[in-house]
Amino acid sequence: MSTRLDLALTEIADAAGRATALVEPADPTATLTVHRIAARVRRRRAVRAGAAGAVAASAAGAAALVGPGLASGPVVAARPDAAPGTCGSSVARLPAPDARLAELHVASVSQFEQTPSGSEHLGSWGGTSAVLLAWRGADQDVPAHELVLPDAETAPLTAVLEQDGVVVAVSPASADLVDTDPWYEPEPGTTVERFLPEGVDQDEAVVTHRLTVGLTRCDDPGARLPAGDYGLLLLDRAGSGSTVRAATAAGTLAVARPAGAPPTGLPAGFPGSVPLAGGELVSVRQPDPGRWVVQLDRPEEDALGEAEALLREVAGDPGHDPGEDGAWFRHERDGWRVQVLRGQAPSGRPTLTYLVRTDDPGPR
Amino acid sequence: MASWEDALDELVRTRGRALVGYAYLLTGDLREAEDLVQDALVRTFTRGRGTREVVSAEAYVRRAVLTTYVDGFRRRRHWATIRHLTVVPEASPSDGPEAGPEHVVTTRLTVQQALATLPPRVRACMVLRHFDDLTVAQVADVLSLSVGAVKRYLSDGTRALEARLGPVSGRDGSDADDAEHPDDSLLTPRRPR
Repeated sequence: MSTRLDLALTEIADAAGRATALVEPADPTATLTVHRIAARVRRRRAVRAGAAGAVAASAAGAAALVGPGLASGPVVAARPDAAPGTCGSSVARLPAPDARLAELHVASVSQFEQTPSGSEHLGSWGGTSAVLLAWRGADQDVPAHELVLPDAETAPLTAVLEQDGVVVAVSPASADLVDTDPWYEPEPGTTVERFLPEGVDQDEAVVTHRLTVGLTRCDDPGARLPAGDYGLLLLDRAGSGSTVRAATAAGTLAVARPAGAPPTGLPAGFPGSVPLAGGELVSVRQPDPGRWVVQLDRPEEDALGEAEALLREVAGDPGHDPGEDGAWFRHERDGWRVQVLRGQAPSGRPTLTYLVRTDDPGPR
Repeated sequence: MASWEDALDELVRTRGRALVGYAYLLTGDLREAEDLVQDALVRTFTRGRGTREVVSAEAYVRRAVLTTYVDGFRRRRHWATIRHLTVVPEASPSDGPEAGPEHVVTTRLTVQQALATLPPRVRACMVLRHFDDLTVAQVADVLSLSVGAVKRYLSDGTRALEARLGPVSGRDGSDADDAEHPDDSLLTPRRPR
């Protein structure tokens, strides 16, 4: 008896459709999902007309958006006289993007690692900063060893966040690291397999900005922004002055609510000195004696960094063990070693996943 | 005629599950499928073509799902290598109360696992041919491949699946790599990429 592929594929698709949390018609999150997608569409549609239009459009869409996880109003008071791009200023006064900004693609680091293409939704963040990559291809008509890109190609960008059309967070341009990756003509008769992110042609150099976007209020740098969605704008300032020469709407990022306390209710026998991050316990398994797999509900982009920092405080830097993938944090006195990774719950929701071993703490 | 916002709302609510299911056939990962659908919706509605009517919008979104996937929707490799350690070995996506009879679930999971072994282009060809019921020429057109390349991918895909599943067949019990389709006489020349 043969397997009917068309029927099997239909079964698989139907099961995935039943399992998705993206659209549950009776669930208010469906409304939220539609609004989020519509806001992204408005931004992209308007970005061609200029940053101001983009933000105005997204702000208009956001007016109807008050739901779980979203801030309900501007957190920084509008200052009608503020210079464009500064704290409290109106984004409606920002100029349109120039050619450099219009061609930028933006993604979080983890998004880029999965798919080297730009994203409109730049992830959810649990800390006080978001690390993003912005890149574009640059014409290269000279040999790679002679390539000197003009300042206009590599000038730092200023990242600001807006809510309801008001600038609520401003990141210093010094947080913007710029890297260039020239294209080398291969030797005759050879081919080169080149890693190319979206929007970069084979014979172009890549200019990459590493942006550290502050998630603190511009009128109170000690205070983190309230949980909610914020629009990211990238500004090109003229020289070191404050005049904004061009601006572009680069997507939306979410400031997450605090993760809360580390999970409780772990089984007896689980090594209590393993410093787990805060978050709801999704699952804990013991596939073999002395081995544990713990998953926490932590969808934020920076959750892994937070978890690694906690482990580093207790166990020092991680090391690589022969025959093992990845790096392990090892605590010799308490006899455990731990690897923490980004994972997924069966529902598809991102998790922090801890692999814990007590049966074999590794080489000493 | 509805506004694009109305069409988007209706499309997500009424066809969102089907779109995620379609994307899942390609990605084999529910979250990636959801992301893929959201990105495809944004791309489609940003362009604005055919987005006032749900039926035409869905066709555009499906095309965007496919091209985005084939153009490089890549999964994180390290996660893939350890994923089996983190999940209880059960049906994924969850079978739940709406699951079918046991043998159907078993077949689904087995096919799902076999499908996951296929390279992206081969997988896309198999889904277009056997799920969308496109002709070889239509598959070639959608993926900007030559007809010969599609035939080769279908043959490779079928062989790979049969190595895990035993004999497989297409619609109406035909051979799964049978390139002959009622409309396959309408072959089109290769489109420049």
